[in-house]
Amino acid sequence: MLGISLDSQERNCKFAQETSASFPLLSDTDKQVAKAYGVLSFTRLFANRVTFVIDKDGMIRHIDEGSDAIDPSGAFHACPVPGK
Amino acid sequence: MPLFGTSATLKVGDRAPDFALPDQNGKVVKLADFHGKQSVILAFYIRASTPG
Repeated sequence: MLGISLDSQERNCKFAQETSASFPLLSDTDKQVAKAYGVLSFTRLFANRVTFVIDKDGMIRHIDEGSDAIDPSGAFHACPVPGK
Repeated sequence: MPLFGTSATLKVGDRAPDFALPDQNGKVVKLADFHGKQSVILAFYIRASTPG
């Protein structure tokens, strides 16, 4: 499990501490990755969270957007080997 | 309402674009690091784009 936000690394560190995040929280401050994944166009229309499940071969297996993506358990069902 | 598939540039079955980004501790994480080893759940939190 990886989290990506557009916040700075410093802010992500604070967020990770506040929420006791147990996964890497990546900082995409120049929005290049968000653009590559089309996430910015998602968020113009919907909520502010999108979750992708990517298999070992680098292929996208599942996409959750909006309220579904808030609870990642939905995405876990599509993941044959949940991250340890 | 067509909520899905109209706004995304990526869809299920597409190859996930590679990336290399620093985590909260400054360690650079690459998607390619997981290739052939482990599947990845990638959760975007677009908090910074909303003022306030």
